[in-house]
Amino acid sequence: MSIIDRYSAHLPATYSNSPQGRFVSLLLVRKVESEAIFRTEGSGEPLNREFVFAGRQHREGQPPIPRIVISKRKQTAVERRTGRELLRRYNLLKGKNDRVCTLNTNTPCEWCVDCMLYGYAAGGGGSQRSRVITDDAFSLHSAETITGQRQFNALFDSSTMYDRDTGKRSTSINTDEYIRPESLFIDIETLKDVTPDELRYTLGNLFRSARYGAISSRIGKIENILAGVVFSDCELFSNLELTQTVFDVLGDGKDLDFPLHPSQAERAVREATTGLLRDLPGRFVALSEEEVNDLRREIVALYSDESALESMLRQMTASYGPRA
Amino acid sequence: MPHIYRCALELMEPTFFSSREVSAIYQTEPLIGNYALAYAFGFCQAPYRTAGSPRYREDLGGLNQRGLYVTPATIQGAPRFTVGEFNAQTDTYWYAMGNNLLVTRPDGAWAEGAMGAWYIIERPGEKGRKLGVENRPQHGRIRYLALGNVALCYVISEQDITIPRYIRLGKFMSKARVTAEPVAFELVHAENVTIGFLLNPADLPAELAMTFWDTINVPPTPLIKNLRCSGACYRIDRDRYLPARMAFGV
Repeated sequence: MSIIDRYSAHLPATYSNSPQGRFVSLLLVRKVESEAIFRTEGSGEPLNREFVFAGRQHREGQPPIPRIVISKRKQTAVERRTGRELLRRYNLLKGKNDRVCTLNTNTPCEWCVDCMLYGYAAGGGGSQRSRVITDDAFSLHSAETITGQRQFNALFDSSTMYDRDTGKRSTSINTDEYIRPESLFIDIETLKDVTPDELRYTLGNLFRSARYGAISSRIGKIENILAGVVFSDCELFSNLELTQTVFDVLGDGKDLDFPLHPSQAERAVREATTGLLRDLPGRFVALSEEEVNDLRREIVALYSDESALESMLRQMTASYGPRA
Repeated sequence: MPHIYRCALELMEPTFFSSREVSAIYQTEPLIGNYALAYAFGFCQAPYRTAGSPRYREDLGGLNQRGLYVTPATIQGAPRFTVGEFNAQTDTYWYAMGNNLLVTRPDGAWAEGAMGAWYIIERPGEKGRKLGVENRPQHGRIRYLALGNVALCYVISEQDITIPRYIRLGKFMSKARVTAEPVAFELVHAENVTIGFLLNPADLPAELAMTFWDTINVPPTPLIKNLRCSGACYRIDRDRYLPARMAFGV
């Protein structure tokens, strides 16, 4: 019996427009596999940082540390597009007024799996709230430990900074701050009132998304490692608390070794979660390590079976009812 | 007598409400409105799909019947902000950032910009179909309330209730941690007391005599602070007053 079937009692069987407070929290370790850049202000600007305490058990007078932040919208932006590529392949992105469903151009079809799950806001045509909720993810290590500088310059066709035809010199030379490979980000993705198939689809998008942040045609390779899954009837703790607790579990107040093997971080996420859940004023079920691994295998098997995947996507699309 | 809970909200992420929009800057005022809090605490539920107009009358009116009220939240100490840039991106390989418009083109067609407008051209030589602009933000700067701000509000309820430990606030559903504790109080007739924290003037009982106050203009209703008033109040913490019989004025 599949893991999702085993726990389907914690999920609604079909989509309902009224929130029912059924939460699935996916606990992630996002591992940077190449250089990566997360910033909002454009080329040459520094990475996004927040000054926060290293751990929860910080001693009085200990200064906060800077952590690098992957902002919440830079996570869903990538993952929903991964899913939309798949929907496009099976012609499941609907059209509206002869324009096919396209992000951010005011032409949501309002009926495909992506519109229904990740939400949209249309000018004047109502809106659909997202049921995939992301939080800013914090680096486990302090920014100083995991960042470096790179200089870049733009060459002419002659492969030099000098254009012989016009006599111009290239002015494009600058420095980018980047995140070093093997940096780890601790993250929770919260799914609200998703059906079993919507859960499979979201997990598929997570496992299949591989490039985040700036210049993602060259850098920004990230592996999403599922460290835990919790079904609950209320919101869990925040990313900040989880990251700080993981820091406490792994170290004794000192900065951690870098690089740190992701399996250590995974273990620490599970241990931190167990501790933090004791404080939760609600009912919850956390999957065991073995079940989490089985779940991943289940999703891998589904996505490698084209006919099963296609029929699931078609069924999901049809389940939202006829086009209004 | 009702139950009164003091709730401290600690922002765990940058939090954005569009309180003020000046050209391409979208600013969060240092406060959290009480309509937003009623939904965030889960006292009432907004449906996943909406037709576009708010449902304050149905949703908040229902809370009045249950004798449940929440005040706006006042930031403790000096508010801290962070600023970030945003831009909307489509999911096509080719796109153009037009003026108030993100341009994409159907396969096989061509898009051309002329005189600030964009045209979709299906056949060579034709003028093409002009694309309309959209009155919604495609890029700009957001001023968020920064992580770590703490805001205080009061929940007044006829029934004993459980306040959630974590809630989500604002356009980006930013997480906040809630520390709620019941407070002891007595019902008194207050004469000329000043209430320093934020209140929603639409929710105050008509019999409360209001002398003067500061108005903060934010949607969906303006809020007031430093209200000097006389009338029936709950006295908490010796010198803190909360007007009695507040209810959502929807």
